[in-house]
Amino acid sequence: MGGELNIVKKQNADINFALCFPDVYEVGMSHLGSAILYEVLNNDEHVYAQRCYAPWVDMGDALKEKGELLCSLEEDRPLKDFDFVGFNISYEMCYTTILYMLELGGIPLFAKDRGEDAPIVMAGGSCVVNCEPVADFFDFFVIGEGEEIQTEFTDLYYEHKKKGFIKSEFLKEVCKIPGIYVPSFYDIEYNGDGTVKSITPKNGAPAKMEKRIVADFDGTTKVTRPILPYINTVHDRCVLEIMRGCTRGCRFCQAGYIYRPLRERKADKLIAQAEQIIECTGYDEISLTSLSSSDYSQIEELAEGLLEEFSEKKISVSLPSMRIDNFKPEIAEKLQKVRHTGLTFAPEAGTQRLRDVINKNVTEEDIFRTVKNAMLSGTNTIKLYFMMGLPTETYEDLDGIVSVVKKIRDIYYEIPKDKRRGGLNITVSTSNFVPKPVTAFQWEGQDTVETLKQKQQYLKQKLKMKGVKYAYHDAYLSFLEGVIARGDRRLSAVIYSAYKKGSRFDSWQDCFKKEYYDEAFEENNTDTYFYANRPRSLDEIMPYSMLDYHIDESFLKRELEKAKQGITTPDCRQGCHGCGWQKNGCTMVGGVK
Amino acid sequence: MRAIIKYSRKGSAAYISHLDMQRAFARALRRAQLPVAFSEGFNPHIVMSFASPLSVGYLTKGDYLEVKFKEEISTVYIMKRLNAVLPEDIEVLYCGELEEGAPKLMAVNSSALYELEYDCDIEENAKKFFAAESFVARDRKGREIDVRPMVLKGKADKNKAVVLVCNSSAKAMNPVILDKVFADGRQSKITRIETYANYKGREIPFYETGKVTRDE
Repeated sequence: MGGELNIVKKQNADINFALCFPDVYEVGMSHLGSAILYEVLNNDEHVYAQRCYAPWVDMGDALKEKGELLCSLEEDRPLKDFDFVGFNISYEMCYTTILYMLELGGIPLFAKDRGEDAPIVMAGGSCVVNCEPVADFFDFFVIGEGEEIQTEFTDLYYEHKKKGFIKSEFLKEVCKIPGIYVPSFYDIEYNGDGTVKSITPKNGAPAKMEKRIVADFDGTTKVTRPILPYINTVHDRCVLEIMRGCTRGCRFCQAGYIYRPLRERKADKLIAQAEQIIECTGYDEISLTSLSSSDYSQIEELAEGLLEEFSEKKISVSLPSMRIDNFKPEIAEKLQKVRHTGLTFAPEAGTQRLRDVINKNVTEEDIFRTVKNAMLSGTNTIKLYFMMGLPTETYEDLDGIVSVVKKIRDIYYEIPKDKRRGGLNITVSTSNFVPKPVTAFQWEGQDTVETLKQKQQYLKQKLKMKGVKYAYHDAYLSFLEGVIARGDRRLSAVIYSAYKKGSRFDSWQDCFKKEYYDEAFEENNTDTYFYANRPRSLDEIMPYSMLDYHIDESFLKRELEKAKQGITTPDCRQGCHGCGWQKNGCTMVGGVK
Repeated sequence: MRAIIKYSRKGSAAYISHLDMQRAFARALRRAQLPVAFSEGFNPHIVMSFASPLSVGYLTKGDYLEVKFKEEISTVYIMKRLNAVLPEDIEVLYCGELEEGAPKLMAVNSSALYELEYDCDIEENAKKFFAAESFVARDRKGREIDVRPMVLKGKADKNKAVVLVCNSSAKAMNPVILDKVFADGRQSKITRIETYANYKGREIPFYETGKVTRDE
């Protein structure tokens, strides 16, 4: 596509940076992180950041057939002619799509095969937490927040380019920047049982790399001039990031841990940002984004401020990620004044017992009270997210999901008919639990595919009710996530094999081919049980242990123990639990902020 | 008041759907901070509609939409503000005020003038077509239809043909079907040059149904 409003045009930039997202335009353009980096990089006079997304399969085939290369949107420059090719990795199933884009761009897939003329291929994003399965394809990774580190390594590159660029020299220096991981500088040795024996740095690389956070979150670069897509993208609206991090400590949630410490933006600054964005885009919807928006300390002030500023212009404000336990109906009512949007909740587990194990601190009372209030203000569409395959889960917990849904239905029909807004629509969605690195459950084994499928069918039967839809995630795909999430470097061979067979767009149902992965595992003698379903021993060296997200292992082990005993851990706004950030500048220390 | 706006599109804006174009204009009107009128009800949207949808891939120099405004404003001002905020590839060419009670653009939309540009000489085939009384061709769905009556006027010169075709909602012709007739299926670059309304008994270009107003 290209030619959209607000794209950046530069001539003769010193450094050309391809900001790549390993999925289609509609998905990539909805990614906030990429929008932030586009502005951060383009604000630098030396750098021209241009976008590149994965062309759909028919286009990819056409490019190959005609011998043409994948190019950037802004300048139509082939990927191989960039100085940097940077990928965002947020989801394990995007890995084969990365290889797809590299190959289409004319770039050798393995870092060791790339010469001096090839671009530096790097990545950032949430999957960097354990990037080992794709370590062989990248020259380096950025751990944590990219806003400041981007200029640090592009400046370094500029210096090297001026005096005559030699890749190995550049890498030796770039690994010294805090937050940069150069995988080729680490030798991994394995024990006989397949677990990691040692991770040894060389070339002066540090033994551990620490996650970067920006010095002043509220003051740091915010998106103020987003590119306005012509076509309908997934999140086609003004998005305001109101805070980063989360204080709830749900034990399954990697995001809650790796985006710590909690930092908020001031409401007045956010309203000003919204004004800027609305002025240069003409969007008619504003969305507030964070891991747990109702925890934002200025939520009422912000909601009121946005409504005051924008409701006359018929701009609606929508709130995703609301927690059930402190959701205030007055806010919902205010926000729905302009347009009616449905409500989404994530109880995650069907019984209080299991919710306590995973530390999702909501009670049934919370759920039903919130739902009732939402319905009284005119909502008739409810979405409920649950997980299946959680540690200690039994069929009783699945029955719990069914009874929650039934009770919600009852509540709706108890409301007098004239107050209801049409028929009730409940969508229940279950995803499959994947044990993730840097969570209390990183030592757990995943439920097998068979078990997950059985549980899905069980729920499907029990949820056959009027007004209720049940959707569930593909069990095999979740299993693959499970293999890769805590996988080691030896998995790069599997990803490469699967790609060579034709894997790409694996998160897309119509593209995903199970056989390719089955064959790839077979050919590489991969013990998938070892990676996905095996419970880890507490003293095992994890393949990603050299990456430090400042979450102490001792803290995670304490949380795991509490989980097994069904003991909850309250919000850290109410008192610090020593996750590790208290030593590194977290302002939650000492109680309520 | 209701304004009629004539616009052109080229470049990357040619490859967007009609819905995308509607959205692009709605957002441009918001960026321009013009006093647009909104619909009532739960999902308020700007009161606007297009005369005739344009297929993906087609350029235009003569497409129209109408927009309702909350108050009287000069059409010269509307045109200036919109052109200041529209993306590069879309431009407002004319803006006029519609008469009180004038029918919706779509209701009076009658015919459209297209230019088809080919990479081969089509003059002979085209002239044969224009001379004929009927000409059967297959449309995209494989149905056989007589396309000749749908082409009201036409002329051809080397690799270009200009045709005036029926375009009302009851009987609209997509000129791409002529690729099969003129060039054995070779793809043309299609530009809509003008759109015509059947207004008060006359067939006139849409811009003649509006009146330019200025600030006094």
